[in-house]
Amino acid sequence: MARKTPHAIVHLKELQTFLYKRVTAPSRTTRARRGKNYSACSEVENVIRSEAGPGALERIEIYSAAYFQRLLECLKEDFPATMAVAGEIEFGKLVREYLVEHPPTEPSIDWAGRRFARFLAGQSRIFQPPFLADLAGLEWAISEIFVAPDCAALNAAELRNIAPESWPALLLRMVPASVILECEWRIAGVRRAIENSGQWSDPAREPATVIIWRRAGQVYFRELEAAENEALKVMSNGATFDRLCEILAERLGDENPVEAINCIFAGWIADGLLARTPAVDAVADGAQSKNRRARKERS
Amino acid sequence: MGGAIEMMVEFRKRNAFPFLGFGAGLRRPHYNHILDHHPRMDWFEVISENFMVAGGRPLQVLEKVREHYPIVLHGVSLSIGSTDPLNRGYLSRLASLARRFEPAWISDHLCWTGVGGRNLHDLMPLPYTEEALRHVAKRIRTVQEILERPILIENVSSYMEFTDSTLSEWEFLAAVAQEADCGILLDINNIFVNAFNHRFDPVTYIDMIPIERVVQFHMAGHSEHGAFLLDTHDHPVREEVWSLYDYALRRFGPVSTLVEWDDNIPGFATLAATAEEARRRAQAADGAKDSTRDRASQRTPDVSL
Ligand SMILES: [Fe+2]
Repeated sequence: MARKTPHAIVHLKELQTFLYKRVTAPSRTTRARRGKNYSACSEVENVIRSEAGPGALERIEIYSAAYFQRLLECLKEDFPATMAVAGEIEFGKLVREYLVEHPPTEPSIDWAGRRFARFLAGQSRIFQPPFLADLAGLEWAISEIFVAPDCAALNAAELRNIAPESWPALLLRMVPASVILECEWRIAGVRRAIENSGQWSDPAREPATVIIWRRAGQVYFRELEAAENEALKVMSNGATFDRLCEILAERLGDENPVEAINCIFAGWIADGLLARTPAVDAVADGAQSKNRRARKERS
Repeated sequence: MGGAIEMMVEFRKRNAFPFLGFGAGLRRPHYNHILDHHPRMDWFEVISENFMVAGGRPLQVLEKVREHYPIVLHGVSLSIGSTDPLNRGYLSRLASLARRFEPAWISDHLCWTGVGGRNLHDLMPLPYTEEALRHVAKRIRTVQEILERPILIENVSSYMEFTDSTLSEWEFLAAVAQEADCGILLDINNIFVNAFNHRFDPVTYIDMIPIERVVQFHMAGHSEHGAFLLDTHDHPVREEVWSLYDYALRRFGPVSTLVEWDDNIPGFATLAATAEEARRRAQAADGAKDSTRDRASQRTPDVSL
């Protein structure tokens, strides 16, 4: 039943490598079908049976069409605003070129878009909005943070348990499901506008910092002010609470920095941005047991 | 030596796979409905890769689902037929997922999904050759050792066959399962689709599959695409596929059955109704054939046929 030729592919690895190339390079198959590349065409026919119904090329084309379609659908889901801004047709073209340069390597298809923003940053097309790469970067961060590691966030009650003398040396951390993104364009508003109404206006070309984080399973993002940005950065680098306040006070240059610092801090707590770490637990627990002891002694 | 003797004992008896009843694939649009209402469904099958993540909502959802339902881990990227080395990182993530969620079993497909470190994210057919047979069977054995349990392999739908093939698809599937000593997840819709695409008789296929290795059925809808049937999982199960299911039930007896729906996903009620239709047909087949009693004794007590 097998139609053998001197060039028949007999080994599994050769067959898989050959098919991989065919499936991921549809233009070559199309050219071959048009008769411009007879050797490629006959190679496919040597490998794939076609006596029952459709020809070998038509069969392989089902797989290549499905390959691009499946990945396009996946990237559409991960980059809805990027697609809205690029336009569906242009987005499809970009995805095709992206897949040639960065074919998926991970077992989960959810990772297929991980280099898309970087790819866009390297493109310079006439019709490509210049802020597209920044926008794709934000959308990828949203996808990543959605499945980043879990960690309980500090709440106000836990903070109240921390004794005043423990505060200066306290080391705080952001929850692991958070990331800070430096952008060249003010793209946070674009993403939000598209999410809310499908409409947007071109963003300003101004350096902007966006924080993306997850609270109770949902991903949020917002732009950071310079002072807040710097405070979060030094916090991630292991600065104490004391040092954090110093930096905020310096940056804010307010006549009442304490109130401004409190306000920023309350925002982080409300957003669930601060992690419940063993270090915080230790001082909070210590304060709690001391309180309990004090209450007992009074009663 | 011991292995050879063990092989003679029926695969399903040796491994005591429970009869799970009639379930559906766990899909995102139904998460809230399932968590809020705990609707009647015997069991859920989940796509393993969707839960190989560090944290977040998917794992929380699965944890809650698992509190109320048996689950099975069904993978799409094991790539058991690939000539690339087995992905050890993937396997250890799969093993820890299994430790955490205790699935009734783990399954994947008799196919390859990538080569040269790249992934096609598609279930690519294998040539049905002795070379492929030995290669796949050996890898399944390794996977079973790593996961410390037998796995099930599923027949895939395909749109091409290879000139090098020396076996039929059913001979290949049966031989792989035998040589690897693994179970079979028989996708009835895939048999129907392939029978059309490659012009063979689906009944012959079913007749040639060893009864004692079939642990699960898949039921799904397909669509027409020119000269092909495509396994799109976006339609209700076709009547012809239900008929083939009836035939399979008569041969294999009651087998845990799962409804797959991946595109144009309907409301949960439609899924539940499809699972109930499978139950109704299994009951009818069971009533018509008393010789399947020994199979019924493997059922878990709270699942009615
Ligand atoms: Fe299936």
